[in-house]
Amino acid sequence: MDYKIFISLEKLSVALIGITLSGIILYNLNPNLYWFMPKCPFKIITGLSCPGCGIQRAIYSLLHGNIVDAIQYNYYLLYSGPYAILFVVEWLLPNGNARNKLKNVIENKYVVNFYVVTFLLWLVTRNLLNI
Amino acid sequence: MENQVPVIKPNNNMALAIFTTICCCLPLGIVAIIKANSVDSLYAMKQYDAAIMASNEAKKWSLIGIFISLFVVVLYILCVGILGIGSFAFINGL
Repeated sequence: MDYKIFISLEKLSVALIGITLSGIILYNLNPNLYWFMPKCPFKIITGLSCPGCGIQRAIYSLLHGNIVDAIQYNYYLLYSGPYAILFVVEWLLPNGNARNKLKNVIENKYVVNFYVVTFLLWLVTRNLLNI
Repeated sequence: MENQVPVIKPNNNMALAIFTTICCCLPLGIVAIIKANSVDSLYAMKQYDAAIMASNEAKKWSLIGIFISLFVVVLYILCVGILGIGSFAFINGL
């Protein structure tokens, strides 16, 4: 029934092109210095930092080898970054056992609820402590 | 109800919802996550129509969130670009 054993080339190329393009852009353009680098819409409207704010600066620092700086821009990315990457991996994987196992773990109700709760807690803490 | 043919489990669109929260459309992203979360449990309870509806809702809220934030970002960049160029012209007496 299921002939999709291999990773789809389309998905793989979309992922590779996306990663390379954003990598090239974020390596060369420091988001602190250029006005045309996209700003967080939540921050523009409310003035508060959202739980994802700092992601561009963090990737910029990471690409330049400043791991400590990268972490300090957004501590929550230590958890949400890998979690989001796992969703990309799930999207890339062909239908089958491996994909189902991963899906059951990352889309488990409690895992998702944990993400939502920590996400909101991080939103409050980072704005109270200004981090 | 007993004769209802089990339908294929609808995509819960969870990945899209998580993406929406990280890419700064958080209020709608959270709504999408909650909707996406209910897809699998509704499906497990054999409420197939409700599961499909929740799946569509999850997708809808994620996309609305993504479009709103894209709109705000583009508007911001346009405003800053135009104001920036405008003030540059003003300062230089153009």
